[in-house]
Amino acid sequence: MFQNSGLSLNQAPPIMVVLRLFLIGSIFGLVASIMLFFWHDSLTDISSSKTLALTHTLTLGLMGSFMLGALFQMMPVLCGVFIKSPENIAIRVTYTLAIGTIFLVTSFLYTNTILTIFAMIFLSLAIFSSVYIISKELFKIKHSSSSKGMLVSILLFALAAMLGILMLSLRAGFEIDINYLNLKALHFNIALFGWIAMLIVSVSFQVIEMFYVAPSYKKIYSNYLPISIFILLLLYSFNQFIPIFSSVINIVIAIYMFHAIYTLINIKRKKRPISDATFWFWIVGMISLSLFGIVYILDISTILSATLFVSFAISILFAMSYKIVPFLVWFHLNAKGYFDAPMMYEVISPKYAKINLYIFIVAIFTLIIATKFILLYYISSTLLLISFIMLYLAIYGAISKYNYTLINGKKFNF
Amino acid sequence: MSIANYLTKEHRECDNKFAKAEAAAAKGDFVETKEEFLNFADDTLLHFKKEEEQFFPLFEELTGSSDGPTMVMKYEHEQVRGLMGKMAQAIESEDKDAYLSLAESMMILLQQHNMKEEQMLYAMADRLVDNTKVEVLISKMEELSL
Repeated sequence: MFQNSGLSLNQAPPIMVVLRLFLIGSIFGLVASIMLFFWHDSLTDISSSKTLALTHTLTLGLMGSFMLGALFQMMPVLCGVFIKSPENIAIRVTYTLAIGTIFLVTSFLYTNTILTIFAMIFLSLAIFSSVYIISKELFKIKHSSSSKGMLVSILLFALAAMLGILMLSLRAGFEIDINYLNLKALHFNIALFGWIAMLIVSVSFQVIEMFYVAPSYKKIYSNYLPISIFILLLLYSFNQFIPIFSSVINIVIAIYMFHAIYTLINIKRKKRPISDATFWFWIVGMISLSLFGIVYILDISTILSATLFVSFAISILFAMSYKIVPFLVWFHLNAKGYFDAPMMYEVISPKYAKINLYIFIVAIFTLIIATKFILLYYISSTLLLISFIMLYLAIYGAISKYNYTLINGKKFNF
Repeated sequence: MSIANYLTKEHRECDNKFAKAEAAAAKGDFVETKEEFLNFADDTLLHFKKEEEQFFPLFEELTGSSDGPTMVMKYEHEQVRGLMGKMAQAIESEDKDAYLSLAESMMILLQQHNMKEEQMLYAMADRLVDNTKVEVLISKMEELSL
């Protein structure tokens, strides 16, 4: 009965399941910033090998790691399901995803068939095994808005990965009769709007209310949004045969714009008085998503719309990390009975997170201006690098404090 | 009124009182913080009592399990009680940073606990309990005090 209802006795996965993915994700963020510093000249050509290497470092290495980590952590809380043997699964997924991303990025840079085949193998293992494990559990439960969104996003992640693998097969020399440009557009749109944006939106349904004591989203809205996006993206996937369906993507983006504005209104009505760094990261993320919608729909600039989408996704990643990481350290130590477990503010100080916020905002601002004044990329990429170094150090420091307390802390024996 | 409506309303009222105490602490007004915190603590502890003495036993009877989800919820109640003690100490010592840091943990702990109750336990109870029993349960919970 409890299984069917999605109610699980187990509460949270081991802390390192999540923090290991976050730590490796932040290293990919750091690498992406270095790539941007040296290769920003290539960004005008979205098909150049350097642009592909940079975008996949961001989407798979950075976003993939953080989003899978967040899913492992949030599924028991938001959906009431617990993945069996999470430690073993997470280690497998973490390393195959990281190795697969490295093979993929190097295969773009060196156009090598062996590297491409290794990328296909490792990424297939990482993505399809995690999609199988997560979706298998999500199919069993009675759904909330968040769990519906998570299921949609994980299924579309699999679809985006399948399309990507198909494209890699073509690069590896396999002959498949398919329109490459259509395939590429589909892969791109499903990955960004089906996987990344959908997962962030579904998480926002719960965490905006939960972290900031803000009003909840209207049930009719949050219940039907995930399935609407899913249907629209499926319709869009037939645009090769029915050309009018290509405009469906604008409807999807308009829905995301509406969500961004709705979230800004909700979060501004929060009851908690504290406006910490995570609150402002959400604000920056949602403003970026709104602006992205305008720039994309009005077809103002591809590079600018890409920059705004990246700003949206990374802002939310920072918002979630600075909230989840200190909480997990405190929560796990407290649950183990350490009465000198560091408090959340001692794990990561709010001032540290605020400094990271300010640096990140300036990085994004200069990144936007750099789309017109290219020399500014040196400044924006350096600031982005500092932001990711700070995030890495915050997560690393949190793990160190956790381990230190495990060894030296005073424990209450139950 | 359904079980979910009744108990969820109490969650929201506790959230509001918690936010008031946090706002007072952020201003550094520990007299007001103490007053608001006591309001929050009283309401939360009474809500726990209603669940532990009335709602959980009924739920356990209906599901035939006393070591299932209700055990997890009771464990989380204990965690919240422990944290309340630490927050009270922070108020006594007028340690603003300690209070706000503990408040952050408390909020996440409470919200994820509430979410599990609202989305799973209360929803399941509303499906399993008939209207007459709901009325009896609510009136019994209303009679309780700290």
